[in-house]
Amino acid sequence: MSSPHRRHLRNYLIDKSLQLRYVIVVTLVSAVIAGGLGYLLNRQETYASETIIKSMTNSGFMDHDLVQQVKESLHAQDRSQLTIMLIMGVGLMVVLSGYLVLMTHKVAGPLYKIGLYFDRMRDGKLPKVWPLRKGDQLVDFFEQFRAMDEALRLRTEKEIAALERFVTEAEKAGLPQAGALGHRVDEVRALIKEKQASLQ
Amino acid sequence: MTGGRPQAATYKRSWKNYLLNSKYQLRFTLFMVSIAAVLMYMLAWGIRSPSTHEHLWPTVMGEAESATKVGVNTIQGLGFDDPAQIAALKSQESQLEWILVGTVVVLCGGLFFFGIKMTHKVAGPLHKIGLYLDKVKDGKYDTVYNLRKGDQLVEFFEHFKEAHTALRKVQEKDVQTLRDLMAAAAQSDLPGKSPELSAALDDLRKLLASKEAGLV
Repeated sequence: MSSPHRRHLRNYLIDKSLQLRYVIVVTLVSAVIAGGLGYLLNRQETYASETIIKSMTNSGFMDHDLVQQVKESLHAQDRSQLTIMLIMGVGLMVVLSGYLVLMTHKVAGPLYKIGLYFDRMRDGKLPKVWPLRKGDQLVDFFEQFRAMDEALRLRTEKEIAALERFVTEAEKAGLPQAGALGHRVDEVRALIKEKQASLQ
Repeated sequence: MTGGRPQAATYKRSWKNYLLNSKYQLRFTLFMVSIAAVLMYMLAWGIRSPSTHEHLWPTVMGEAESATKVGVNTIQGLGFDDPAQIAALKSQESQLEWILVGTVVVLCGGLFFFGIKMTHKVAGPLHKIGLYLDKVKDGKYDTVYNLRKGDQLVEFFEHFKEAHTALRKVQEKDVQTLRDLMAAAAQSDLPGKSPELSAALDDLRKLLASKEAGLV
């Protein structure tokens, strides 16, 4: 949680359900668009090639072998373009997914960090909150959390001061150590210790 | 959501309050829409070379244009300069372009609404937790209600709920300790022992009152 912490590839996927949901949706949408338009593009290419072949055949100026040669060359060109499109499509999906994991990590990271602070609060601590890493998202939410934590720490310090003042004045007044009142003052002393421990 | 109970069981989402965390929601939604728009534009229309005016890579409209060109040349080359047939070929091409434009608009619009709705399921819980955080900051520890059906960050919300419960328990314990002390002090006439002790007890009484007020 200290500030010089650096991201590692292995822990880029912190909150799988949150991150993968967005990554999968965007990648699928992109895949459907690329696939749909790629199909349309390939159909147009094939149609253009067919038109060329038909026009050459209909012209009657070229012999059958030459038409066949042009036909094969056009089909080979269509196939190679299809292969290039497929490779580019897959490449795009991989790069996009990687980028999206990085992008969602900047949301999942602060949530993970705040989650750890919540766990410490559950265990009775009021931890000092360190700033987010550069580029992290949810800055406003984090600031809200930090403001709450600071207010809690400040309030606890004031409570400790008020309780300590009471104990000091009670001791000065020479209150009995035993009996109901003495027991209550002991409880206040224990409360002070708990509150001091929560601030460490 | 400003009262003691931020989420009533019958609460329904409405479009006007779907944008709770505009910075986060628009960033993710616009990224998704931009990817879709750029991808569609590049594959459908692409970029033309400034010098040759040719498409830099095969595109749907580029191929449609060349198919139309070949068709027109064939018709003209065969000596049938039929304007109706040429117009039919060109209209086929422009029809395809309109379909593509329509698809881009519908898809981007749909993705925008979908993105806002999807990110709302993260922004919603964060907004709700944020309201509770503000209340705890002001010393109020009211009951935490569950998330709405379909919301994300369920695990994160559980971490928050556990922390909130622990903080509330601390307040309850403080209240009990202070109440017991006040009762014992009243029985043994503690305020009468010294003015300083009386003042210290007054401070604790105020502290108790504020803690009791926070436990609504």
